[in-house]
Amino acid sequence: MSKNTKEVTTMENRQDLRYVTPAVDIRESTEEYVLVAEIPGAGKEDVTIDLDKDELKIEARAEVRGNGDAVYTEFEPVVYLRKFRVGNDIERDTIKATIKNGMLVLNLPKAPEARPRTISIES
Amino acid sequence: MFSNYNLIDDLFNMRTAFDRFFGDSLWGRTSYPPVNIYEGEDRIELKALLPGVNKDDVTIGFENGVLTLQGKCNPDRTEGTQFLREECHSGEFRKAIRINAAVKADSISAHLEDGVLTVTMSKQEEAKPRKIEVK
Repeated sequence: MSKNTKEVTTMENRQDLRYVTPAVDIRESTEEYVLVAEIPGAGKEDVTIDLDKDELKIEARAEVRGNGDAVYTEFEPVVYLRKFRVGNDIERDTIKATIKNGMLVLNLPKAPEARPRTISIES
Repeated sequence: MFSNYNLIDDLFNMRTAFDRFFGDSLWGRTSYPPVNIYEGEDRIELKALLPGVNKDDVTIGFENGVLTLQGKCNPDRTEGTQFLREECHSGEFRKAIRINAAVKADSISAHLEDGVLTVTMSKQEEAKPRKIEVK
């Protein structure tokens, strides 16, 4: 798995910017998964989210540049890229994405049959 | 019973301790938050990456040529839910940066957009480049 992943990344590296893996939080509740990714410098128009078969790909361009000569640098313009495998317990048509303060939030609702429920006893 | 199998499976391996040390990540080798400093003819500009930080949760100070940034990351993070991954920054941060140019303290302004903080400082007259005419 990790070998394949590396190959994909290299192929896509033809862009001028360096690819980095954004930090993510993934939370699970009974109704949904919530995936939060740190993508500072990327606005709504810089983000693409693709769901192809069971692969969810997040790509965000963050071209942070300042005015004047860079005299001290700890970060550079980057493209955030991360892929996830999505299980079939997720309701694909209702995945929702929002972005706020450089954080991408994906809400992945669970399919009704994947949600926990209580089964009542008949008679 | 049902196992706690991760239904969202990371295709990349998780960001590892190795990444954090050797700079695969943006924050490698620097304290949080990472900053860049740019120098123009009449001003200094500092940019800091602060994803998930609200405008009201960051304080900027300037004293004796040292700019300090402090605040809270990710205050929206809810407790009590089950985390399958927990890599984002949280908690408090504080960073001090020496500004190697004389700037006017009252000229400092800041704004936060898309998780990037921009602090702009005007240089004092004596710090601006000048041409000296030969008489």
